[in-house]
Amino acid sequence: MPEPTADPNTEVRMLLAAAGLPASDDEVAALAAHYPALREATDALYAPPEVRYADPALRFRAEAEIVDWA
Amino acid sequence: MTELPLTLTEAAASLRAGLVTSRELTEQAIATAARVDPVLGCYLHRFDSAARSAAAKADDELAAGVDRGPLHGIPFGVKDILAMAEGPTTAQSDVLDPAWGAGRDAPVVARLKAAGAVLTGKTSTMEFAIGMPDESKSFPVPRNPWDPATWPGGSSSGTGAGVAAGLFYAGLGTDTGGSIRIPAAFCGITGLMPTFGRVPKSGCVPLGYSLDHIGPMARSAEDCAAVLAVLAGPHASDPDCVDAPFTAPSCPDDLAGLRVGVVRDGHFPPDSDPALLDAFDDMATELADAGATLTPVTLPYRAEMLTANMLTLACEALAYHRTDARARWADYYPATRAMLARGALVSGADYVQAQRMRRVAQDALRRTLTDVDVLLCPTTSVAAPRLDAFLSGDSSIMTLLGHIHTGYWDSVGNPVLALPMGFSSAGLPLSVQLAGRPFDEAGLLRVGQLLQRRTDWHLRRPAPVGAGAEVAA
Repeated sequence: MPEPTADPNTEVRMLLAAAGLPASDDEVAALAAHYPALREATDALYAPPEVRYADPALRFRAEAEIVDWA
Repeated sequence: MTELPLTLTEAAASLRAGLVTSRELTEQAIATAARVDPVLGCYLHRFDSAARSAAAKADDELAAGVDRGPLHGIPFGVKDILAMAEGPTTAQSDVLDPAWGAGRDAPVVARLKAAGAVLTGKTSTMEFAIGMPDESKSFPVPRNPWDPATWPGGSSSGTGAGVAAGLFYAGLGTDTGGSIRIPAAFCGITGLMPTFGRVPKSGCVPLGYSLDHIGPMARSAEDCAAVLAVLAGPHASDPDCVDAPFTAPSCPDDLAGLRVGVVRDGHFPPDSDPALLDAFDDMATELADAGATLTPVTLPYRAEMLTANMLTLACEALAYHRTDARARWADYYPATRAMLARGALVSGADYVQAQRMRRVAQDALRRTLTDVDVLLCPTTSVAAPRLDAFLSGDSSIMTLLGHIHTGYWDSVGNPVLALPMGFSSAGLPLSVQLAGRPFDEAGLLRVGQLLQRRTDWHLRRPAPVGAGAEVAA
């Protein structure tokens, strides 16, 4: 199991590689610069106690049919 | 020939009064495009021949007593992420498969045609409705008719600039994080983001499946109402689209009994335009003078909804683009790549959590909208930025994001109307948003119509391209 890293550049590079996105070093650096803020904002979505047992806004329907639009 | 009407509603009345023909309106639109579009970059494809044929048919039908409604014979633009049979859809990208949508009309386009609209062409956008202007690509860089050195906003850039410059009377835009309302704001026109599920999204290249809204952009709230009446309604191909009847409302005499929640928190950052506060307060005063009561309101979960908007958009877009992004990374605009990459930086659980947060925020907003009927807030806190910052890749342009106040509403799905509300300290348009309860577009449009009866910001036009950015009354 890979050890957790506090280096945003390493983490971003790993995540992009896992997604198969061939970002350049400059792109990785730019994303890494904003990654801590992204992670903090994302983690903040888990914080409010009132969301702990909320259902998602998106719902799955058992009945579905694909109908072409034209 | 006398000066042509300014608004869609006026043009419709003039057609029926015999003061103008659809042929004349269409020829004027084509001539204006020929003159200014080389500078403004509003169009990716023009369909002059098809438009002339549609105009001739409209004139013949109206003369024979066949009246398809207020859009009959009116020149109209279509954002180039919506399929239209007359020509290709590119989404302003080298990546989109040319076979996608070829020879077919999106349901909203089919509805416009059935209503007799004269579709003049496909308007420019940002790559896949999310990229940034980039001169290195083969597509035009859209420019703002108020000052072509500035950005018209996006991603419905060409539609916004085209309405403002008189290339067509109305157009289709889409809104996932603000892409109807931002160009409406920067171009000084009116834009309506309908409730999520009011208008079918099928036949539109998706950006965010749970965030995308298709809606009208035009001079006035009355014009937007006329267009929404054509667009709205279920379609079997879009399971998100609900059967909620909509009829264009009439303008009320006053706003007695209307409760307006005035939102200021987070909408007036320190480097806002110096003219913003007075312009916003003036619009609030207009509402009060018309009989509304005003109450300060804070939007619930504002920070969380901004995060949810970005995260949901990135994940949903990456799901759509992953195959092409892996194979054709360099063919995407750099800004598009950056947005797609964000979708890889969060987990599936994070995505689901954002959807849980959206449900909680929707419920809180619902409670807010039991104490007030509509909410008032600025669309942006600055006017159109200069294009050279985008084109040079200057990272300081990202500070613009803190001045854009639209993404909250895409996250919750409520309808929002963006209206011109004056001018910045540099003479560029400023805009205000009216947000309402789900499926209460009629309520918003009534308020918007009354505001536009009491003010004339929506009738202001930029000086002709090349004559300087003077405010024209």
